[in-house]
Amino acid sequence: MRVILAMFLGALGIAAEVSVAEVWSRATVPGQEAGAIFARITGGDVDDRLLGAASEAAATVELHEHAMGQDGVGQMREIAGGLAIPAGGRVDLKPRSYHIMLIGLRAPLAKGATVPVTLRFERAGAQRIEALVLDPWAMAFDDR
Amino acid sequence: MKIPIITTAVAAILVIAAAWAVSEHRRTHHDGRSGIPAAEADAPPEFALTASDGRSVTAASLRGTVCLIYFGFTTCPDVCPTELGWMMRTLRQLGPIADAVQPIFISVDPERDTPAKLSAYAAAFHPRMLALTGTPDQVKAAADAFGVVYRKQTPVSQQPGFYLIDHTMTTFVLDREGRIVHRLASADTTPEQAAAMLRALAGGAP
Repeated sequence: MRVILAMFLGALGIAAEVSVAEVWSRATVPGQEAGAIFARITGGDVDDRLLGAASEAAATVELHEHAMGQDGVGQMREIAGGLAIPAGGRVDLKPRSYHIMLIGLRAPLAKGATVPVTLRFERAGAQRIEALVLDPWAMAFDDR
Repeated sequence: MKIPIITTAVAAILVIAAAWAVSEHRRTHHDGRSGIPAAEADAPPEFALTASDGRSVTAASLRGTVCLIYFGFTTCPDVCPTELGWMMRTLRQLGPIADAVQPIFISVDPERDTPAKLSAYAAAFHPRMLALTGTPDQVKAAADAFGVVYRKQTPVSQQPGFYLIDHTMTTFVLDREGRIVHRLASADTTPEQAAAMLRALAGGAP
């Protein structure tokens, strides 16, 4: 079905690209070194891969994954090789799962402000997005 | 014909054993007191730490108050805000009874979590949240008393000197005698369920 749709849209000259929506972050307090950015990524016509991200808001930006160790200890690790975004699929960067980590914040993330981020996809290339800063306890984009 | 029967029997035993192991794991990891020996469950964890305002806080000084305690660090961008947010939502569910519950954040990162940073961080989640820290030895002793594990990651980030800390993600509920009566996590328990547990503990007159 997906292939037929892709062919149909292709024939019309409308090729769907990876799209990113509902981009948000959590407010931080002065001195807090790190922040996280969450988003909903929808795959385009072809399989793609989120390779990395950059932002003026932090010294370093990395893709991280949260995992639960066998002893109930939470672990956070950089995602090696990027994050697969399947054609027509949806990948949520969300709490307790994947996030874009801002390391070495240049200024605290203030509630209501926006954080510019550039995502780098293997096929779709660079995409500029803006994360809306929500409360420190927010769990989703509409959690306000 | 015999081999398939034996195979089936072995498979059945394995399935039953696996089911038991899973239920045992859930019981010991999620159900407050039932999975650990009574003596251990009844012995209140002892600790001596310092609040972000400089006050000394010990297990004894908190007796008489129902407490919610979570160990974490302010550089943690995902899990700690998630669990502290869950704590805040739980208190919100309690209404006026929330005043009888003390929310507490204990930093496992005494090197980076300064009192000033901790004060601001705790206040961002709840105006009455107490943020505690101490010397590395005091923090280790407190974590040990609760069975909390934390370990600094080998720095893998491209940011020089930056590190994260893997840590237990449990919120402990202490009764007025300072005993651990529940071990909770936002992934397993809703704020409504946690609020019902707290209402049973803190609802009556102290």
